[in-house]
Formats: sequence, structure tokens, C-alpha cells
Amino acid sequence: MSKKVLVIEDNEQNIYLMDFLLKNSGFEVIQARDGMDGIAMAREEAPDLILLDIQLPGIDGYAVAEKLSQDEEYAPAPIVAVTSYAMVGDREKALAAGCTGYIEKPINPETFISEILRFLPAPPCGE
Amino acid sequence: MAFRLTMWRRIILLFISVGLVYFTVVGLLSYRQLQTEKISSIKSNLSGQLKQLELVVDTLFTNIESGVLVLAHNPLVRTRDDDGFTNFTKVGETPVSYRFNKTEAEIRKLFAQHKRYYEYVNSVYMGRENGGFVRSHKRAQPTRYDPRERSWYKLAKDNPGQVMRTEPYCAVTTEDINIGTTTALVDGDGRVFGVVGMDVTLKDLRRFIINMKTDYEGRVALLNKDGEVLATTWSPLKNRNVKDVFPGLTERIMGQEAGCLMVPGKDLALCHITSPRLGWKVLIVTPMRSIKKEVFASAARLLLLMFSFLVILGILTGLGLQRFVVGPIRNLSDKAEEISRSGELSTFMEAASSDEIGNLSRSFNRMVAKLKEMGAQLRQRSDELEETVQARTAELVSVNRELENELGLRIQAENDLKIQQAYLKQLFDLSPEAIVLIDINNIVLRINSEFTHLFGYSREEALGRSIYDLILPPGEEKEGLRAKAQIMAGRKLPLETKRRHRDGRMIDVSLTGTAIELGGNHYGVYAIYRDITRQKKQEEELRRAKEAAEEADRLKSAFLAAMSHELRTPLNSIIGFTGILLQQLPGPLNQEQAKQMTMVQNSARHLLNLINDILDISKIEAGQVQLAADRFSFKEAVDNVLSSISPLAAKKGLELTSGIDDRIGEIATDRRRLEQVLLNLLSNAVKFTDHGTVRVEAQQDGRRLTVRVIDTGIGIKPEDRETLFEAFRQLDTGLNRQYEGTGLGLSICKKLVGLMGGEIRAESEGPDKGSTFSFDIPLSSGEPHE
Repeated sequence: MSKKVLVIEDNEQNIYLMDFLLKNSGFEVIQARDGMDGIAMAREEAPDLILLDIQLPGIDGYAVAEKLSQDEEYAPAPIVAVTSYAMVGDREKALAAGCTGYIEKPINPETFISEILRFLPAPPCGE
Repeated sequence: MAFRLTMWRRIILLFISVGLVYFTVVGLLSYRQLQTEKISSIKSNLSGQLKQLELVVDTLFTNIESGVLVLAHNPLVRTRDDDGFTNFTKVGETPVSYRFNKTEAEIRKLFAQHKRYYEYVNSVYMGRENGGFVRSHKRAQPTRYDPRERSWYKLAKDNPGQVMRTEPYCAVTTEDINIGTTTALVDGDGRVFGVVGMDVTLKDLRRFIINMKTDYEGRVALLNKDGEVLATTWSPLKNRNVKDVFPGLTERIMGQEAGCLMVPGKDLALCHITSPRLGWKVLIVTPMRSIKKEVFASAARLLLLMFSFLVILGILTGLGLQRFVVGPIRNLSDKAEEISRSGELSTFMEAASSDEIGNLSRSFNRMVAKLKEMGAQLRQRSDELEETVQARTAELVSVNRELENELGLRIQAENDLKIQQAYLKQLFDLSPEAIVLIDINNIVLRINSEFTHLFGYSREEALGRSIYDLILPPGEEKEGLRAKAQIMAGRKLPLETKRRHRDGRMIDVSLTGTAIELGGNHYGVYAIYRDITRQKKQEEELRRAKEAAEEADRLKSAFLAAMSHELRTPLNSIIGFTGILLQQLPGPLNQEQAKQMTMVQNSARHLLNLINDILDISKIEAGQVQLAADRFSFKEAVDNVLSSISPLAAKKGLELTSGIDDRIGEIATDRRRLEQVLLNLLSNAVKFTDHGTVRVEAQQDGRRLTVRVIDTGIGIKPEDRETLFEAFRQLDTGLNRQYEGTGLGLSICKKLVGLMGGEIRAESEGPDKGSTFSFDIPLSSGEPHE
């Protein structure tokens, strides 16, 4: 059974890029365009991994990570921040908010899948 | 001698004083009496003169009237050749000429004789009922003239048989003002057929009056019954009416027959009399000062007489006194003088008279006898005293010497004290800080000039008042007490607080002070205030500047973060999709497509590196880079960097070697940044070297770590060494862009090494001779261990 990845991201091109790469590697991809939508989908769909942009319309990525990680009802999946924020302390801020990992944009398509695999409990089964 | 003179002087002075009082009282009284008498005599004198004057004027006109009457009865004048006389009534209609017929010529001659005879008459004339007119002299111009219309004619015609006198009237052809004396010519039937008259001009009347002399500088005036001045020798009255000149006195002058009065406020006396026949007033105006002068002169004569009498009386009294009083007393005095001079007590006075002087002489004799007796006793006592005095004197001399010594020491000490006081006073007064001395009740005893300057109180205002009332801000009594308690407790640390200026504004001051204590007693406090308003202001400005700088910094950081984010987002797509295409995930690429797509990928990566480097530089410059203090193995870090660079070196066929001193173990610094510098230098070396080796060496010298990266590459031109570490410098850029790179690497290295407290250098023996980049950083103390 393929792993389910929730991509929370507002930029269509970035969604398309990640969607393409993930599907190409055999993941099932679900998408949310903003933070509230992302939280709702995380609860409903119980994804295996969440890729979270930080700059989002409405509530930002830090808030999403905080809410999800503090939700006791919800068995949390690893949350990986995928963001253009590259200043000093941005990584620390993301981790403090409840993210498991941090990938700086622009992503490297050659290494992207191997990077996210590190955050998954077990390697995907493949087809 | 002195006694005699004094006595004389006293008597004379007394005499003169009594005499002067007498003289003054009698003089004043007699002056007043004299004044009254004199003025009344002057008045009567003036009245007499007035009567004379009146008589003269009256005579003048009486003579003229007689002359007119004589003419009126002269047959020649009464000739009835009316039409034969010159007539001016038709002047302007027919030519006029003087008619020199025989009769008229004779009449004219007669008139001229009369004119000459009466000195003050200027014209003799005659008019006829037909308008004919004959005069003693020719008229100035033959203008139209009808005698029948003239006042002198009408007046005489209306009063036939009488001699009439006109009011002053104006002449026709000259500017004279005339007073005519006329009478009518009446024929046998009692009909008037003409008028004959003589004129006196006012000018002539004045000439007449000028000759009238009066006493006391009096001036004369002649008024008609209406008060108009006909003639005067006093110019204020000339051609005016007495009503206008003496408005308040008109009634008294014109209403009375005769009298004398003072003109209020004018210092003038005025006497007048009415001429009973003419009806005119004769007036004498006299300045009071001349009357007073007269009064004073006669008073002075009296007083001089009295004074002479007084002097003679004085001399006689003096002589009498000398003979009967002063002489005997002088005699007595001479004797006493003689006794006092010679000490000879054998002198005796002859007590001749039985009066007070005689008694005095007898008493003198008794006194001399008594003195003799007492002299003997005294001499004895004096001998005894002499001895005692000598003994005492010797004693005193020795005591005195001791005192003198002590006094010398004291003066010295006092001088020292004075110098010290003067020095302290100057110190106090000239101190650049405000100093106030208060007693234990906070009352101001002394302030210096800076205190006046700082708080605006003058010495007069401040002294004697409570220091709290003067400069403590309202409601801060507790603070004042606390400050004083601190000073009393001997705490000299400055206290920064606020005090109030006289005008109410607050001044920031630094307050120190010291308690004045002597033998365990507190006498007060010296408080010293320094104005730190400017200092406070500068601190405030600094704080604001710092806040502004921090705000600017914050904005810059925010801008950098935003820029980084915004540039990365599109790069994410570019790099991501080119990567996907090149991986041929969507489908196969032909060779050309793959080549071009690789170019896009390289450009995008280059752009990303640029963004990262710029961010790095900006962060370092903004001081946002904070070095971590990691503890790690230096060798491991170098190996880590070498392993990441080795694929590139291998690709170019370069030898990559390292020589790390074994003694370098764990070091404490920012590992990531150190690796960044190393990676930069090594990748540069590999990039710019085509053949040979790239070597990294490291030594520790005491607490300094020196790292060298040596290559056999293109080298550095001497002139480029200076600019090598500036941003966006890549040697030969522009000419030969064969080496990839942002040009920011060395700049970042220099800044990072600087942050770590070290220095970076580049050396090269020249182009194609290779280059050596070295840096040394301090290692934190005691950290490294073997």
C-alpha cells in the first residue's frame, strides 16, 4: 500500500512540482491550499507525512505545525517544513513549532525523495 | 591768651546776635511801614502828574478850538464865493483842477499859517454846502471827495454854534488817523453854509505825548471815552482798546473818574484820570519794580542809619566791658598762669572792689594758700610712690618681653590662617560646581557664584532661607531628607537627581556633599551640585540614536528575509522542473535539449549561490551572524571539507593533499563557518588550478591556529592582491570568464575570519606561479587539549 503524503502549499507551481515528484516515486498525494484546510485534511485523511510550506494565506505554517502537534486526538504524522525562509533561526523556529524536518527551497529534484524518505518510519513498498 | 580771646569773642558774638535780631525785626517793620507810606506818596505824586498831563492835553485842544473859532469868524473864510472853490465831487466825470482864484489862494495861505502855528495840527480845511473843499495843502491825489459826507462836516453842521471834536477817523488819501476839531459856518439867517476845522493826526498826538515826562519810568496813554487808545508811548497799548489789554480792569479804569490800581500778574501800577472837558482818559502805566526800587532805596537809607548806630553802640559797650570786667579777669588769669608756669605760690591778688570780681580775687588767694599746703603733702607721697613704681616697672618689663614673644607667634599663626582662609574662599567661590553650606536646620549660610548661576538665586535671596524651599522640587521632601541623610552618613557617591531653578524649571544635577563635623558635633552640610543637564540630554540622544539604528537594522533584516523568500520561490520551480526534465522523468530528451536544459540548471544554481552569498554578506555586515561555540575535532572538519571537494579535484586530475599538525586536537569555534571558509578557499584553489596540486596545511602556535591552502594555479598579479577580498572580484573577470563563481567567496571568507578574530592573506610569486591563501584564528583559552 502506497504511503499518503499531504502537501500544504499555496503556490500552484510548487504543488505541481512536488506532486509530480512524489507520484513519480509511487506516493499518494493529497493537497491543501491553506493552513486551515491543511489541518482539516490532516485530521480526516491521516496522511503518513505532511509537507508544509511556512508562508501560507490565513494561518501560517508555524501555527499549523503547532496546532497539529498539540492535538491529542490526532496521531501525528511527521511534518516536514518545505520553505523559502532561509534566514538565521528560521530552521529552529520551524522545529520549535513542531516540525520534524526542514527542507530549504529551492528543492533539489534529484535528492528530494531521498530527503523525505528519511522522515518516514519505513521505506515505501514500491510497486 | 586763649581765655581772654574766647571771652571777648563770646561777648561780641552775643552782642552781634542780639543786634542782628533787633536789626531784622525793626528793619522789616519799618520796611513795611515805609512801603505803605511810599506807595501812597507815589500814588499821589502820579495823580498830580496826571492832572498836569490832563491839563496839557486839554490846553492843546482848547488852543485848537480857539483857532477854529477864530477861523470861523474870519471874513475871508466866510466869503460866499462857493462855486469858485475847488470841487472834488465830480472827479471821474469831468477833469478837475485846483482853482487858484484870488480868494481861495488867500484862504489857503491863511490855513497854512495856522497849520504852521499849531505844531501838532497837520491839516486846516474848509468844506462848503455845494461840496467845495479848500485845504491848507494840496491833496496827495485828486480823488473824488465830498466834504458833506465826512463825519467832521456832519458833526459840526448838526451842532451849529458849537466847536465839535470828532472821533478818530481815517483820512482819504493818506493812512493817517485824524481827530478833527470843527465848527459850522452860519450865515446871518442862521443857515449853515459850510464847516471849517483843523485835524490832529494820532501820529502827531503821540509825538505830543512822548514829550510828557513822568517819574518812575511811567508811560503815558490817551484814551477816548470808549477806551480806545488814541496815543501812547507804551507799545502794548498801541492802536488797541484798553478792554482788550486789561480785560479784568476795564470797569475800574473806565468807570471811575480817577484812581490808581495794580495790574494783577503783570507787576504794573496803573493811574488814570478823566479829562472833564475832553471826556478822554489820561493813563500812566508804571512798572512796579521801579516803584519798589524807590521804596527799597529809602528803606536802605533808614537801615544804614540804624546799622551805624548799632555799630557805635557795640563799640561803646565793648570798651566798657574791657574796662570793668575783662580787664580784672585777665589780670586774674595772668596770675594763675604765672603760678602754673613757675609753681611760685607767693603771688597775691589785690582785692580792691567789693563786687563779684573782688570776691573772685579773694577766693583765688585762699586757693593759693591751700595749694601751698597740699603741695608739701604731695611731695612726700610722691617720694614713696617713686620707689614702688620703680619696683613695679622692672617687673612689668620682664612680663612685657614675654608677652611680646607670644604676640609674635600669634601674629604668625593668624597670618597662616588668613592665607589658608583666602585660599579656601577662592576655592569655594571659583569652583565650577555649585556649592552651598547649610546648617543643621537646612538654613543656607553660604553659597558660591556657581550656585547663583545654576539655580538663579542671588546671595541676598538665598542666605537665611531653607535649602528645601529654594531648590527642592515640590513634593520631594523625602528625597531631600534622604540625600541629606546619605551625606551625613558620609556617603560621598554622587546622587543623580533633580533640583528646581528659581524660575521653576528642573535641572538634572549630580549631588555630592560632606557633613561638617567637629568634635562629634554636626554643624551642617556642604552640598555640591554639578549640572548634568547636558550629559542627560546626550544620554537621551544616544538612546534615541541607538533605537533608530536598531529600528533601521530590524527593517533591513525584514527586507533581506522577504527578498530571500521571494527570490527562492520562483527558483524552486526553475531548478525543480529542469531537474525533473534532465532526469527524463516525463520522457526522454534529445542531446541538444539535454545540453540546453543543463545550461538552464547551471544558471539557476549560479543565481541561487549568488542569493545565498549576498545574504551571507549582508548578515555578517548587519552583525546578525553569531558564532556558535562548537567543540569539535579540527582534523575531522578538514577531512569533511576535503571529501566534498575531492570529486571536483579528481575530475580535473589534481592532487589533493593535506598536512595537519598532529598536536591540533579538538578546538572550540563555529564549525559550520570554519568549514565554509575552508570549502571556499579549497574550491577556489581547485577552480583556478589546471595542473599540479592543491594542499591544505595547519599549524598551532601557542593559542593561534594557522591554516594554509596552497595551489599551483594561475597565481595572483601583485596589483590585484589589494582588491582580491572585495565583493564581486574575480581575477580577470570580464576578459576571461572561464571560472565559475559568484565573486563573493573571498569577501565572505575575509568577513568570517574577521568575525572569528583572525586575519586572512593571499600570497603569490606572480601569474602562473601558484598562490597561497592563509588565515589564522585565535583559539579560546584553555579550550584545546592534546
